[in-house]
Amino acid sequence: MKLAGRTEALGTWVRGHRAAASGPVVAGLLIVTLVPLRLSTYWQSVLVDTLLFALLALGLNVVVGFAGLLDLGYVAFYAIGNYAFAIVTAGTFSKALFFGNGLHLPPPPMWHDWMWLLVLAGLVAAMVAGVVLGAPTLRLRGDYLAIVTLGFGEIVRISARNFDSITVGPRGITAIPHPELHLFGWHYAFGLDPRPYYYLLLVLVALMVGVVVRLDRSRIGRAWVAIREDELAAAAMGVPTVRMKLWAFAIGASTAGVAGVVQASRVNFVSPDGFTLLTSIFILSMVVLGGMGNIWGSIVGAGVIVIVPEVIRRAIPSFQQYRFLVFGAVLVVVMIFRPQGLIPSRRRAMELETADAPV
Amino acid sequence: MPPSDPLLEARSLTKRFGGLRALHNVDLAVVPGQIHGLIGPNGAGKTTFFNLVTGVLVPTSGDILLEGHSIVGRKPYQVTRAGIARTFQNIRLFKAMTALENVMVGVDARNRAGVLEAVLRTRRSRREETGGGRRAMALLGQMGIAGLANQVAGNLSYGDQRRVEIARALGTGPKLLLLDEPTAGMNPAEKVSLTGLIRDVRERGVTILLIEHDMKFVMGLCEEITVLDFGERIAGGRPEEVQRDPRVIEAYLGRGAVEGPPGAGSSGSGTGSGTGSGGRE
Repeated sequence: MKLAGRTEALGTWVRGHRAAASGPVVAGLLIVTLVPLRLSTYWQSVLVDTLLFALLALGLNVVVGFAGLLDLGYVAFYAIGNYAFAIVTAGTFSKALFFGNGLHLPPPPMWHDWMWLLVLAGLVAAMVAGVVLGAPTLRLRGDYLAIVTLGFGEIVRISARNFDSITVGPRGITAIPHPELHLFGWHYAFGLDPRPYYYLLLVLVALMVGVVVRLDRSRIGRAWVAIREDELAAAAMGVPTVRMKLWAFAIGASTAGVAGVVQASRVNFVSPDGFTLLTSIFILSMVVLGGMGNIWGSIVGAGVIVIVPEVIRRAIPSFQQYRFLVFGAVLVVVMIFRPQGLIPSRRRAMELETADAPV
Repeated sequence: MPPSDPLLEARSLTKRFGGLRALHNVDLAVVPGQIHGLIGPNGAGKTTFFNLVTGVLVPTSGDILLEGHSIVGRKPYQVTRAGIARTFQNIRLFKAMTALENVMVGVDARNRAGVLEAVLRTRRSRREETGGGRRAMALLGQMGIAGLANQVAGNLSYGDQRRVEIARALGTGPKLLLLDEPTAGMNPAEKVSLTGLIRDVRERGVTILLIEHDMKFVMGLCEEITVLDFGERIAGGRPEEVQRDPRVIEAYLGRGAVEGPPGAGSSGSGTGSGTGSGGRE
């Protein structure tokens, strides 16, 4: 009886979701899963970077696009994810280096079994950092918040540079292990091959899209938009504004933390140089270029900003030195002609429209 | 609860902004089921009173009680959840949201599903979502604008925006609804229909405290009126009493008007109450 009921419920669910499994979606899934296999290793790595930044942009979009909080130190949470993984897995190495004997001890084998839990550790570490930063600062508005987060980003980077005993300073932590999978007697060791990272990140991006879509369509998403549009009115409608902003911050931060763990285990190396303000601004430009508050916009923004420069660099080798010049010019042009981004969110476009309208 | 127990009570409420005394020792009691008017010339402290009640401002001294419990020091969202909702003088809708979404933000105040439940789409979160949507639609229907549910709020006419704002406030399930100049910018026909709407809201068990400048509207709608001037309560009582009160006439029409024979005094006769409204600015 109970089972029959469940089967029926499952049937309804499948019927309800059949529309979602229609042609374009299946085609899209096939493209993203199969196409990378036909590419060179170089382009495969570019795609891995794209997905990594897409994940970061999705997280930042929750903070900037949904809740309307300008976070200029987002890279700090990414750094914390990177270092959380690096310090735990390669801890013996950094210690050995610190004591000056330079022994290249391999990380203890047990980490390979527990490695996936470390994704969680990176997530929690970044989330805690997000709440610790957010709790006192989210009462600030606009420009002030931007300055404080910018400062936080620099503090994290500079701490990583100077906290030699734990982070090995500017030399960075090396010998971070690649991930391994042990599933019911099936073993797989990630290596230098970009493909497994591609699929891992594809799963993470898909998960994040699911999370964000659901939040966007819930009372949480409405609360964020309400805060963004009129904080006083939101509070008057019973929205706990500080708590909701903290949630946005924590979700963005934990996403960056997870991305950091993946990146650290992929390149086996972490150094403070990867976490400059420029990286924060890069991720922010992806969100803005794609269209603030739009989930697909963040992904497209990441794609454009990672892939296009690579394509141009391949076509015109001398482009390398003008990369940022052209990059900046393109952003300026896009913002002039399409301020709402490539794939604008309906609400954001409305906000721009009403802001421009003569009153 | 005997009918005399007030739903909202302000006890010698005082608010100073530096040297400016916005409110001074104001006592006010709103009886459950009442439509209570708060009137007074510009700058009398009416909106300050609302901001104190809703937790936007903290009183310098004095107390505010909701059903006998002090709500001073609570944050605005806590006051809302305790049962006081409001609208704003200069409509503050979420302009890029649809009318329905606006009302749902209000309805969400009664829901409990948190972030994790929204992500996992638990049974409760789904139930709240569909229930909330239905409730929001019903409220828009009650305001007579169900047909505008999917219109973007910023594109609605002024009168319709007011209605959405009232529906949004009602969404929070208030015991007390504070309306800050609900008729501002409305034409006479809209004002008449608003009177009906407010009575209807009260029939559904919501007590109403409203700030208003339009004397005809106030006198026709309110059962009790409190008059503020320069931050002090100068009169209070039933509309006809307040209208005859010399201090009120003086506050509105200036010193000397009290002696002048018919003028404001005649506004007590009901039909002539337009004089009061004309006298304010």
